[in-house]
Amino acid sequence: MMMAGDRAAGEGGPNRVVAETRSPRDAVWSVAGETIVMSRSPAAVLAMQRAAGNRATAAAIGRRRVSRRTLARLGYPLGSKRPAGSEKPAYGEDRDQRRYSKAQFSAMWAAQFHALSSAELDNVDRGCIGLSALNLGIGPNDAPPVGEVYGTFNQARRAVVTKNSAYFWFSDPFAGTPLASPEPPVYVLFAMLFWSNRNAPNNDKPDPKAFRPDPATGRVDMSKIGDIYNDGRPDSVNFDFGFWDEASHSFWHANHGEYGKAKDPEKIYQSTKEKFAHSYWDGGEEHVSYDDFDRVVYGVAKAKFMPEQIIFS
Amino acid sequence: MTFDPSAHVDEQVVLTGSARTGAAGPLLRVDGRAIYIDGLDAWAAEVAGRTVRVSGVLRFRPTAMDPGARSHGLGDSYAVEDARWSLAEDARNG
Repeated sequence: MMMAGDRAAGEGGPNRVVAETRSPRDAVWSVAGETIVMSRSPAAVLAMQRAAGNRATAAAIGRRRVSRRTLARLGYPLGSKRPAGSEKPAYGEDRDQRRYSKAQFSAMWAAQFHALSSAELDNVDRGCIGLSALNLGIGPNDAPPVGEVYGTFNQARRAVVTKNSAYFWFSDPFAGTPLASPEPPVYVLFAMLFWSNRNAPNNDKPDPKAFRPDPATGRVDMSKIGDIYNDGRPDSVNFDFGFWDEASHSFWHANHGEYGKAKDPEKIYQSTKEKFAHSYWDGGEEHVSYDDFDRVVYGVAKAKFMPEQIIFS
Repeated sequence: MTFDPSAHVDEQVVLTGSARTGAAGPLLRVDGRAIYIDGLDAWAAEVAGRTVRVSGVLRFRPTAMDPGARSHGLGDSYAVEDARWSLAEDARNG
């Protein structure tokens, strides 16, 4: 018997593989007459891919996926009717957006991944930024990193595909599983809407030249973003973050955080990318989705959770 | 001279500006400042984006977020209570 990972990368090839899952933690494969016990981790999956090939590994992992499909998903694609028996959004739905309560979101997350921890619930209470932080696996005092952001969704998505392709990931091996270093990183995509003029508090007028994409790379320099929480447009909402869910092709965001003094409760939105971020002009001013914002950037970040579906192709 | 809402808090005001849609609700954009319309969910389609005259009592609305919160929401703002509005061009004609 040998452990997955004992083989050198590329060795073995796509032999005939017999696979079965014998426990929640381990899977056992027979590869070319040898039995391989594989731990339930992304690194082990990678080793299996290298030893036996994508098709065999996908077949083995796919067997595990069957049971997960019986659970409630975090969301269903927009634009068509929800499946019978799925959770009806507490605050209504349109073709391009569903509006869930926090309790519904927490229940869906628990069914899909795990019960939210105290720190994760704190993240949910932060509104849109907290939902992105939750999906990235970062803490309730942190913001999604803006070190690599692009001016368009497609540019950012291509960057994510390139990064993930380097590790031979395939979709949905162990969604929700914590990823620990030094396992191969999984990259995901998020978006941020904000106001271009960061010279608070005298920044009610837009800055037409600020935060424009580099024409050669498509990347946006965010070094002058300042305090994202407090330097937005006066009298306005500070920002809107959205986390891109490749499985349902939608952004997850919120109306605002949960505060004791707020008149209305936090609502969690699942929106198409066009609903989440659309550009328009009003009164000679450029805007994105609302009067509060005139820029959108799309960020590339490492996730600490395996997402429902990896952005791979 | 630009409009400073802090100088007119709790006063009866008549404001003319552009009817816009903010992330926190419908607002009147006056000299770059956002004045929210209390009790209104959204501008009617025939009003949105047009120049509107709004009357009512101007109130200061401190943010609902805790100081130092690393959260998503509306900062300090102003709103017109008991608001009445009409298209500015209609008001001129009237």
